[in-house]
Amino acid sequence: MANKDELIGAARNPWWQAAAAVAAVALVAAVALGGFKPAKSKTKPLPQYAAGKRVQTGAMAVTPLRAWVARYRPGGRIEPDQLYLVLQADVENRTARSFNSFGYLLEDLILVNAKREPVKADTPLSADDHSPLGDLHPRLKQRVDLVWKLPPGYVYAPSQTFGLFARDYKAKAYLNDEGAWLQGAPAAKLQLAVQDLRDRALAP
Amino acid sequence: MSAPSPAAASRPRLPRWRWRDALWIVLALVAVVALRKGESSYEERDAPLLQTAPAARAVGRNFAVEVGRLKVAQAYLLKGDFSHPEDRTLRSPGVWLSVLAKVEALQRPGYLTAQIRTRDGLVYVASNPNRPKLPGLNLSERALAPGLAESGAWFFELPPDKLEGAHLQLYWGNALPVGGDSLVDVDLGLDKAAARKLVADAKPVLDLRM
Repeated sequence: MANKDELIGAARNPWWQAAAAVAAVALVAAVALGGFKPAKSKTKPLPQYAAGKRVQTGAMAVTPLRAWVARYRPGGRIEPDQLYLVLQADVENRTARSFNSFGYLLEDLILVNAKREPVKADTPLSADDHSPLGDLHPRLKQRVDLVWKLPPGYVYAPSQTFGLFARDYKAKAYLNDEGAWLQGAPAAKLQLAVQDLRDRALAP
Repeated sequence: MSAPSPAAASRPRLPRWRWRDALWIVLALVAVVALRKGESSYEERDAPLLQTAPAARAVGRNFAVEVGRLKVAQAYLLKGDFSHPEDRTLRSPGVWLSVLAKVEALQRPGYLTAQIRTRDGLVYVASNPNRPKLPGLNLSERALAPGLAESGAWFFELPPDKLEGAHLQLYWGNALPVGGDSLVDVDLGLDKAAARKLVADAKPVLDLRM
């Protein structure tokens, strides 16, 4: 370790003095130009889609149609102390094989809550007869109702954000070279008006 | 002539550059790249054995199937159940194709899975036992036991333009067959005319209340 005399000697060295002056000027310039401010995010803002716009994310194509809050599940009975948020959308399987609706659909089409966290739907239902949704078949556009059971402290918001993740085919997804459709980054934001059906005493 | 100095004698000599060795190395690298490029994919290595079979009697590992009539409908009218007593119409975004069949397990009990493979390689798995909910008729996920043949139908949802050239494929179990297992492929004989006739004869609502 350097002793005091060595440090004094170094401080008197004109080369070290010049280096310190350059460092000081660089520091002042960096501060003046905003170099210590938080950097802006380089990520591009997610594309935002409204009702009726088709979004394709690799494994699926989704067209959000409408959303509502009610005291009953689609086709169900009134539950006075319970609220449900429903997103109705047309969903098309773009892969080459039927897949279960509890897989990619629930994992990729999510509700974005007030804390900006993804929340998966509880149940996918068939929109026409309200039966539990089975498989989604290739190139068939299926109208689905995604249902979220809302927590007791839910505050009605006239607009709601939903999110859609990308899902692409990777030829060698695993160590054994097996291919798979893997979830990717968030791909789209769906902004929908939420219809307020809380005052309906009877489920339609 | 002077004798070599001891220092020069002890200095390690570099190996001689031989073009032949370099050529062997290049050839080995080319072989490694070529073999890697030509390597079969995981899906090819793990693919099941595709066995073509006649519709009259298609036999695979642990099962035998006799494929019967085909019928297309736009929707099914179904009887209500306990939770929804009223009759209901089950629609599809495409059409419903029903394939009548008699199925039998040969050695062990279990399940048989059916799927439709279209001309362009799309695979439509048979609809689950709740769609349509027809216990005793829907063969999907029906438990089979050796010696007890079961009759019924598989129901498929698919776009009407995918009917032409469709094949029925069958495999034992619920999971996709792995390498070496049998995937039995039955040509349903749906040429252009037959597919067109099926669609033309399709009822808007086929009554399946039993």
